[in-house]
Order: sequence, then structure tokens, then C-alpha cells
Amino acid sequence: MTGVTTFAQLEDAGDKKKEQDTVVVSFVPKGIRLGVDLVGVGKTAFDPDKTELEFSADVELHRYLINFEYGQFEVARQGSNASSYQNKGRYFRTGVDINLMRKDTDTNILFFGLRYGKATFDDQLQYTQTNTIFGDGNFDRANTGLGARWYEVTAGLKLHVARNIWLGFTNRLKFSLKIDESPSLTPHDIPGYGKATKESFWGFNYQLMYRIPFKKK
Amino acid sequence: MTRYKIILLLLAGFLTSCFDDGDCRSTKTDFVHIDFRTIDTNQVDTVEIIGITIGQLDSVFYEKDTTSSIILPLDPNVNSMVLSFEFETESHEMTLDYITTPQLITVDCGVELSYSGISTSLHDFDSVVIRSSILDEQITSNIVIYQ
Repeated sequence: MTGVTTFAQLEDAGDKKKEQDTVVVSFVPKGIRLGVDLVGVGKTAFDPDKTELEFSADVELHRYLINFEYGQFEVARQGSNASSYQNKGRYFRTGVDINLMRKDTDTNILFFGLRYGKATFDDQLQYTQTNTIFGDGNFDRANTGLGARWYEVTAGLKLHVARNIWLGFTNRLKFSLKIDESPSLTPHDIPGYGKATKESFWGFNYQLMYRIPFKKK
Repeated sequence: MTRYKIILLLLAGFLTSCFDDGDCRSTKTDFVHIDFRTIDTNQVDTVEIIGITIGQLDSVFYEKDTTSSIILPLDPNVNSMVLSFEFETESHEMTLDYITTPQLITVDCGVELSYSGISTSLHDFDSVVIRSSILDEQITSNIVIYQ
């Protein structure tokens, strides 16, 4: 009887070792994390001529994060030579990040990723043209429904600060901007990107996020 | 937490590159460069100009001048203007069409106007060729008139 018992114990030990050695890779999302950019909220609150609100959502699939970001942008600028510029539009970005701290016991996230961004906006410029040969003139030019797209490389950190609450930041290198043709007016701002004349542009978001867990069956 | 501090320090460096507002320097110009060449040999042609007028302006450009190349201002208030050339033995007219596109450079620099799409819808020269349809200080020849 002792021999049978010993054999059974050895079999159980083998099964447990097999369990420990097996890594379970799950691509089933366990929740969705929703966030708001606090930098934009601050600018909107303290600058009466600017509105920059950006919201984000991400879902974790194993070590990958699928991201979607949506923003609204509005700005009014007073320039020299009696010029004034207004821009109003919205944008979205979508992309994938890779979590480099997948095994972190505090579920913090250090990520690198890529984004595709697209904006649609209206802008308008009023200005006075002074010319010593042909005389002065007042002009009003506008674009309606103008589009732009770009790509981004992202890097950042999301720290799990409390139950279901994350704080984090994202650095963005935006590049490869393409604007629809606009002979009427060259835009100054591209919502979600930055200055229209910059071939590449750095961006920074500081985000407060809340994770909504999916219910387990 | 030391690892996080290092990461934060490394990534914080990226923030410093965000705030370059640039300066007001620009190579945009209001002036179109026109060269004269002979139609048979394509050589530089020196012409004797009595005067050149632009649209309804009273001003006369290149009055009693001898030159192979001229620079004329474009009117920012319109998109088409008529140039009238009076030479020693003949007169010619040319209609120049173009597009003006303004841009706010920065709040401090103000608005800059770009000229592009330069073309001639009407002329009575032997031949007119558009070498470059945009105006820029670095472009030394926009239009060549052959006669």
C-alpha cells in the first residue's frame, strides 16, 4: 500500500509543477480605462481664449493597450497688424501601446506606442493688409471643414494610485502632418497636433483615469 | 520607486522641446521676377523700356530703362492684374493671375501673405513661359518673355 501512496503523491507533485510552469496568456479584456487630460482642463479653465478638452479610453489585451482618444479644440488669437484668428475643431487618435511592466504587482504601466491622428476644423483670419504701392485693405478669409492627419510615437507612464484610479502622463512626438489643400487660408493651429507649420511637434498630456472592470461571469 | 524617478527624469527632458515659437524671418516676397530672352536663340535679351504700368496705378516702373530683367510688385488686394509694357518700337500687355494665401505666423509676427499659382491668362508677346509659380526671395526667375 505504501508503494501506491508514494506513486500518487509523485503524480500530484508533477501536476502542480506543470501548473506552475504553464503561463496563461489571455487576450480577454478585464476592463476599460477612461481618462481625461488635466493639462487641457487647466488651459480651458484659466485661458478664456482657449478650449482644449481631451478624453481617452484604453483596453488591455495582455501586454498591449488599445487606445482611443477624442478631443475638442477652440482658440482665438489676437495678432499684430490688427489681425485676429479663430480655430474650432475636433480630433481623434487611435493606436496601440506596449506595456513594458506587464508583471508589475502594483499594475503600473510603462508604455511605448504608436498613434494615428485625424482632425477636422474650421478657422478664420481677419487682417489689415498695408501696402505703400497699392494701398491698404481689410480681409476676412476662412476654411470650413478642413482636414488634417498625422502619426505619433508615444511614451509614458500610468501609475495605479488607488483602487481603479490611475494617474499618468504621455509624451508624444507628432510627425508626418498632412493638411488638406487650402488656398483660401493657411491654418495656424491643427487641433490635436499643434502648429500647422511644424513638421514635427512634441506634445504632453497628464491624465486622470478610472478603470471600469468588466463583470466576471 | 527609484526606477520611477529615473523614468520620470528621462521623460521630463522631452518637455523642454515643446516651446519653440520660432522667429519672424521669412523668404516670402511680393515681387515677381520677369526675364527677357530672344525667341530664336534663347539668349538673354536686353530691351529698351519706355515704361511699365500696372493696372490703374499712376506709377510708371522702369521708366526709360535698358535691362534684361525686371522686378514688379503684385497687388495683394486682387488676384489678377494687367501689365502694360511700352518699348521703343512696340507695346504689349500681359494679364497676370495669382492666388494670395494669408497665414498668421505668430501673434507677434502677424500675418504673412504667400503668392502662388502665377499664370498668364492673356498676353500678346511671342511667348511667355512660367518658370516658377510662387514668389520667394530665393527664386530669381518667375516668368520669361520671349520676343
